[in-house]
Formats: sequence, C-alpha cells, structure tokens
Amino acid sequence: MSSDDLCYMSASEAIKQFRALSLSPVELLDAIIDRAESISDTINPFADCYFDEARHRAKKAETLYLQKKTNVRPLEGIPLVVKDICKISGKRTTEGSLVYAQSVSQQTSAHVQRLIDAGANTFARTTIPEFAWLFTTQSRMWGVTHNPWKIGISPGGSSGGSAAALSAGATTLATGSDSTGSIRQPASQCGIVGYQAPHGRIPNIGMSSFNGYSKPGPMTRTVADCALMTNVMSGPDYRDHNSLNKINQITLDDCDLSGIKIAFSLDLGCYEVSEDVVQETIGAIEALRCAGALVEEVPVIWAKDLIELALGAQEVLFSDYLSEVVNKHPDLVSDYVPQLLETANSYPIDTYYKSLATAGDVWRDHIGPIFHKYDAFITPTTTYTDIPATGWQKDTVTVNGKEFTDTETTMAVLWNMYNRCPVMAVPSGRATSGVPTGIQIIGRPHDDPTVFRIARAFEKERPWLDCAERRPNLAIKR
Amino acid sequence: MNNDELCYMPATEALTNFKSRSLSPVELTQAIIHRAEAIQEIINPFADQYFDEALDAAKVAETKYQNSNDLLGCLEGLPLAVKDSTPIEGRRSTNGSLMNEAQIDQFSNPSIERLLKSGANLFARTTCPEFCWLFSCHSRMWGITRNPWRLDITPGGSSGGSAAALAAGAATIATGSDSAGSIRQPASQCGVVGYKPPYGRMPLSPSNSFDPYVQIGPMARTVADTALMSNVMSGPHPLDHTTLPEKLNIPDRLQGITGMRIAFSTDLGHYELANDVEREFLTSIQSLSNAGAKLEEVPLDGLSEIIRLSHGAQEFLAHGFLKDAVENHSDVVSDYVPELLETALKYSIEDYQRSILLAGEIWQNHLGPVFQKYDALICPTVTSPMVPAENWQTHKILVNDRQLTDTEITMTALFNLYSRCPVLAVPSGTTNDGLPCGLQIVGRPCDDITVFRIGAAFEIARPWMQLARNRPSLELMLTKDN
Repeated sequence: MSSDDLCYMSASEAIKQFRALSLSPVELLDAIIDRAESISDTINPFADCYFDEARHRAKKAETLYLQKKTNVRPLEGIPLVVKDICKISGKRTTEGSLVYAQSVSQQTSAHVQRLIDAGANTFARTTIPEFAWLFTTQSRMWGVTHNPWKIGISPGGSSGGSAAALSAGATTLATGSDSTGSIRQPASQCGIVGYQAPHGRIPNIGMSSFNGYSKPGPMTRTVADCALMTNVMSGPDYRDHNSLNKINQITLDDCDLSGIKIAFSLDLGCYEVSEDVVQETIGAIEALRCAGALVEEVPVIWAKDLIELALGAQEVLFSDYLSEVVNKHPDLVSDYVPQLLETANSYPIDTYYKSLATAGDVWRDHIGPIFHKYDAFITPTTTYTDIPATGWQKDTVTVNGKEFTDTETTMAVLWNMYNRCPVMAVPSGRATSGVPTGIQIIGRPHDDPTVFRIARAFEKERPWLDCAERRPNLAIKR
Repeated sequence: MNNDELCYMPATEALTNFKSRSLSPVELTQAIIHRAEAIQEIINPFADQYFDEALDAAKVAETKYQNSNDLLGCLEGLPLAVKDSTPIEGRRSTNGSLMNEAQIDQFSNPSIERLLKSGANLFARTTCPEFCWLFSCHSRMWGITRNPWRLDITPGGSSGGSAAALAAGAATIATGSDSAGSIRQPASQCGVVGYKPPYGRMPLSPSNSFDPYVQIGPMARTVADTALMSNVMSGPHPLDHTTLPEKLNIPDRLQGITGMRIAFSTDLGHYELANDVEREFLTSIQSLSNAGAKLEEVPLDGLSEIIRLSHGAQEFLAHGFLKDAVENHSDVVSDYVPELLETALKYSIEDYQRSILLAGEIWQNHLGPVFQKYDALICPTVTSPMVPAENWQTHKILVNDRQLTDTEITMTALFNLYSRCPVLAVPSGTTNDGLPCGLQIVGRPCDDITVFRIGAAFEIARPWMQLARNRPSLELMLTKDN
C-alpha cells in the first residue's frame, strides 16, 4: 500500500483493516505523522503535537486488535486531530492567542471526551485564527496556515488547520467548531466534509453551551466517516442543559434518492457568486438528479436582512469577551484583533433582540414552507475560493468585478441562526484556480438522517479525494 | 347537578359525561358563562368575551356527541379561556395595552390553534398586565383583576386572568404564557395548576419562538386536565423552527412514584420564605414521601447571580418594546410602564452576555449534578402570596422581616433560563391568611412525564379544588347565580 493510500484512507476502511489485521494502528499513525511532518513547514495545519504519546497509544491499540477482542471500541487506534479551541484536560488550549499560550485545560470538552473514550488517538491540535474569529487561519500564536490545494490561498477559518490536515492526508479524522461557518467554510475551501449538527445533538459544556450559534462538530474526508464520528459524538450529557435526547444511529444503507425532494438556491437572492462556483453547484445539482432526487430551484427574497442580523447577533454576543481581552492584553493579541473588536462594536445592541423576532417570522413565512415542501435545501458554501491565506476580516476579494470581504463570500451563518437544521458541507468541484468549491446540504430541523443520505448518494455520484487525480498535489519532500 | 359542581368539573370528567350523554356541552358552557358573568364585575378575569358565539359552538358540539358517528375532537365542547396576549386569527389580542386596542391578529399561535382544532370552545380571553410585564394583573386596558380567594390580593401575573377564572370556576381550561414565571406564579396565587413546558415542546408565535424564556402553556385545575391540554398543544410544528423533534404523549395512566428520588429546596439558596409557606411546603414534601418517593433536601448555593441574570436577560430583551411604548405611546400606556422601562434599562447587553456564559457553567456545576442524581427538583413557587392586587414592580412586600419586591419573592425565572426543564406548578396548601401557596415540580430537561407523574401522585396525596372545601368562597358575588 502506498503511503498516499494510507494517508487518505477513511476511518471506516482503516477500522475494517485493523480488525482483519491487514493494517496496524501503528502503521497508520506512522504514515500520518510522516505526512504531518513533511507538510508542516509549507501548510502549517498543526498547533501542539503529541506524536510520542500517540505512538504509545497506537501500540496499545495494535495489541487490542491482535488479541481479537470482540469489544474493541468503535474508533480504536484512529488518528484524530483536535481544534485548538476544543479542550483536552492537562493540555493547553490557546484559542489561537498568545494570551492563552500557557492555558492548560482542567477538563476535556464533552465531544472530545467521547471521541477519546471511543478509542480515537489524538496526535495533534490544529491551528485556528485568534479566538476563532476569522474566515482565514493565521495568528501571532500559530502563524499562517495555507491551503494544501494552493499555497498562498487560505484553507478557510476558523477550523482551517483541521480542514487543511484532512485534505493533505495528514490526519484521518478531525474536530471543528462552527458559530458562523467555521466548520463549513474551511471544509469547502479544502474539499472535505464538515458537519454542523442540530443544536444540542453534540453536547457542549460550559461557556458556549447556551450560545445556540456555536457548536462543535466532525470534519472528515468521507460521509461515512462523518456518520461514524457523529454517532460517537452525539447524545445527551447531563452537564449540558441543552443536549437533545439520543436519536438512532445514522446508517448509510439507503443511498437511493428517489422520492427525495430538494430545493436549491444559487445565491440566496443576495450573494454575488463567482461563475466557477455557479458551474460546480449546477454540476452538483445534476449529480443529485442522477441519484434520483427531484431538485428544484426556489426563489429567495428573504435572506439579506436576516443574514445581517445573524452576523450581528453573534458579534454583539462576542463583543464583551473580546473587549475584555483586547483591553487587558493589547501587547499580546494579533494585529487584526482590534479590528475584530471594532466590527463587533459596530452593530447596534438592538440587533440581538431584533434577530430573535425576525428569525421566527422569516421561518414561518418563507423557510418553514420550503422545508414543508422539500426534504432538504442546497446552496453553495462560499461564493468564491481564492481568499488569501493572510487575509483579514476587512480585506476584500473581487468577485464578478465587485469587492467583498470573506464574511460576504461565506454563505453559512444563516444556519447558525436556524441552528436546529443539520447542515453538511461537501465538495462540489474545483474552481478555475484549482481550489475546491462546496455546497451545503441543509436538512429539516433535527432531520440528520436525510442530510447524510443525500450526502452519501452525492458522494457516490461525484466523488472527491478518492484517487490521486482528485487530491491536492503536495510536492512532498522525501 | 348543582352549579358549583359543573363550574369546577374537571375537563376529563366533563368529556366522559359528554360521551355518555349525561351532560351536554351546552349545559356546561351555560354554567360557566353564567359564573363568568356573575364574578366579572368584582374579580374581572376576562378581557374580550365571545359568549354568544360559544353557546352556538356548544350546540354544534352537543349535536356531534349525539350523532356519535361524527368525528369528535379530543377537547370537543370544553369551555376554554385564552390569555389576551396570545394571538388568534381574526380576533384582537391587546397584550394588556391600549396601544393594541384595535389589533386584529392575522395568525393564531400554533399551540392555541391546536386546542381550537381539537374542539375546545373559546368563550373568552383573560386579562394580563400591560405587555405581560408584572407579577400582578392590572392595566389601563383591562382594569384590576383580583384574587377569588381574597379581593385585595393579586391573582398574580401575567396570566392572572386565566388563574383567577379557573379558581372561580369560571372556565374549565385556560392558557397562559410564561417568560419569568407568568404561568406558575398566578397558578400558585390562585391555587390552580400551571405548566411551563420545555422550550420547543409547544410551538410558539414566530416573534417569540427564538426567545427561550417565553413559553406558552396550559392552566387547569387538575393535573390530568393539564396533561390532556399538553398532549394537544405539544409536538413539532413545521412553521416553528425551534420545536423539539419528538411528539411526546403524557399517558392517561401514570406510574406511581414509589422509589423515585426527588430533591427539594425550600429557598434555592437565595430566597426568603414566609413561615406559613414553608410549613405548607414541608407538609407537601412529607406527603410525597408518604406516597413512596425518596425526598432529600439538597443544599443549593451559588445560584444568586444566575437568578439575577435570568431576570436581567429578559429585561435586556424587553428594551425594544418598552422604549417604543414610553417614547411613542406615553399617552395610552399604564402609569407603571415608565417604571418598567427604568428597571429594564438597569440591565445591559453585558448582563445578557454574562447570562449566556454563566448559564452553562452553573448547569454543569450545580443543577446538572442534581438532576443526574435525582429524578426531579421541588421548590416553592412564591415565598409569600401577600402581593396586593394593584401592586407595582418596585413596591415592597413584607416577608418575615424583609421588604422585598414581587420579583424577589417569585422563585420561577431560573427555569425560564434553564428553558428545557419542564415545570409543573401545583398548590401546596393554604397560608395563615387563607391564601393558596404553591410548589414547582422541576424535571430533567425534556422529561415531562416524570413531572406529571409526581404531580398526579401529589394531587392524590394532597388534593385541592376537587374538594368543595378547598375552593374560594364566592357567595357574595354569586347571590344572583342561583
């Protein structure tokens, strides 16, 4: 088996091979670490690395498989990277900031604990922008993270390190978190899978538990791996007041989409979408039709003000935290952080309560009726791919001759406001620059299985990362 | 059957009697309307009234029961009173304000719509204070609503009209809404049952559906009636994004509570409880213990700040409509409204942010572990019922030797912040002044059934209005009733 095959092997396949003893967790981890080391200088997806202890755990996992125990845990020996904002007890979590460079966590985030308890082997943390508040991944703490598909272009943010590591074959599984698109936009930029589960599906303990916008989630290369991770991560936790009751495990048996009705919008009526993203989205729509779904375009006239309110609500919630840190540590924060605060403070405070009332009205009048008629709704994830790796929140890119910030090219935040909708971001193709494009599959509130079913069928029709031609050319130093 | 028996008849019993044709919906509706007319002048629980329409509807229901082939709704023919703040298509809901005197709604609240589709017979709307923003029930729009148990005392607020109507036998079932205690505190004041469901259990009007604090809920005189209404009102709704996915049914026959582990707290580590309210509470705890549950007092501390913020978050969210009222409608709003704005403005976005950040940590460290160990938590609803009918938000009430506002004696708002907890408010007994007092049965997130199990067992152990002697004395008002 070539090292590339190992590095891009899905977790589902690896587990099969571990069980059959045709592959050892040590072998897989070695290949992954080898890859991680060889791309670190150019792509820089990793924060702290725990290679030695991970090798030790892989050895133990190997023994368990060799003993042919029947009760081997579902992710035993699978290499995992954890975003540097999700906590691991006894390890530091910097949130991408020098302010927290020495901040060792006392507890492990609930979703990470479940992955660890399921046997996943955390060998590294992944980079984020400071306080996870950019759609690029760069900070004084961790430097600049690049897109494996094109150095100089951003892997997206804030879960940019996780997305870049996956698309470079430098991990098998990864975690992310998403409060305005931070899982889905990087997934789109790097051509991988990112999932935003309904609020409460995956427990969230402590400070962000009551912020409905903010959610941890899985990032993977395949839909099956995403289901595997989701099944491990989801379910109630008594420490999270908002966690939902357990649903049945997601299965991917049914990939036929006949009878499934899907609505789509290319631009939500208010985004400027670049021609290549439009073409790839239309290609994706055709693929879904080939898989048997009825797919229809729906007119959208209701999104513009709502998106502004959704972004504003998050900024208003964030402003207090941010101003405290900036005022205390002006010498430590990245040079773009004061600008983040300026943006956060630019929204009137009534944005927050307006957002609550408007969200309910628009759902009743427009979005609810769409989901009443259709099983799912599809839009592009971003309107444009070539965001510079060193981009700031206020920097602009040119789309169809007009200037936009990366916030204005990311079509994700609406579904943080409508946070009961499951949303999976999957690759739709490649832009003319070679950087991947993506779509979001948005399900009815709490209807995760349909989203997975559509995504799996889509993956079969329009596969990604499955062979050398559909992987980034990494020009790896040997 | 005498009039009082009809007026206080549980909905479940009325339905059985309708089906056996030993009672007609017309007969029941007439008795209720008669009672409503008799008490309205003094107690004033009703806003708009639709008596003629309701009598016509009762006749239609009667025919349906007579032709048993007709499809019967599960609440067919039950007289229902709906709070004036909850929209119903084609009717006005003023939210207790002259500002909305001419407001005709285009849409119905979806939970109310379900009650109406199930055959409940809407005969009147019930009063609330302006914008539902008091724990008493008076406004320029509707005047003063009084407590059937004692006229100088408030029936509570904001669902005070519904609670008073039920306590006076002037409605069979009613609805309320609760963003800081507005179902539970009136239920306690009037000695009736009120249910604040978990956020998402019952669909909401769109402008409220994204605010976890605001829930709509049933009010009734028995636990079974409350369950009956809940089963109709609850369930996912395509036009409310925030509804919970599963349709939950509270079974007719609920398991007993033998062996159940229940935590209790007299004060949530924060409140000052009047001696007689404490006495009735502890007697209630004893009767649950006698019914077979294991009751344990849990020490709760560290809740004071999150209790403050649970009010503060709501006050912050109210800035918008209160500013509009004071700035643009000062000529029509009630005299206490400027004071409401003044209070609201004491809380800022920082308080809201802090409420979000702290809520998760307090749950993780304090309440989560309690609910991990126990099936439910029981605490009083209000610490003293002695709130005057015309009380304002800043007025003080004497509890033991402390001067406290009605907000400071109402123990409910914490479970609006912890919005997924189901909370059933039931009467716990009678104070030295002859007023009802109450307790809250707080369940694990989204565990409605346990709360109803405890409520049903408690009702058997310590019954309230089913017994004639546990009803308010209304003789003076009812001279023209018979």
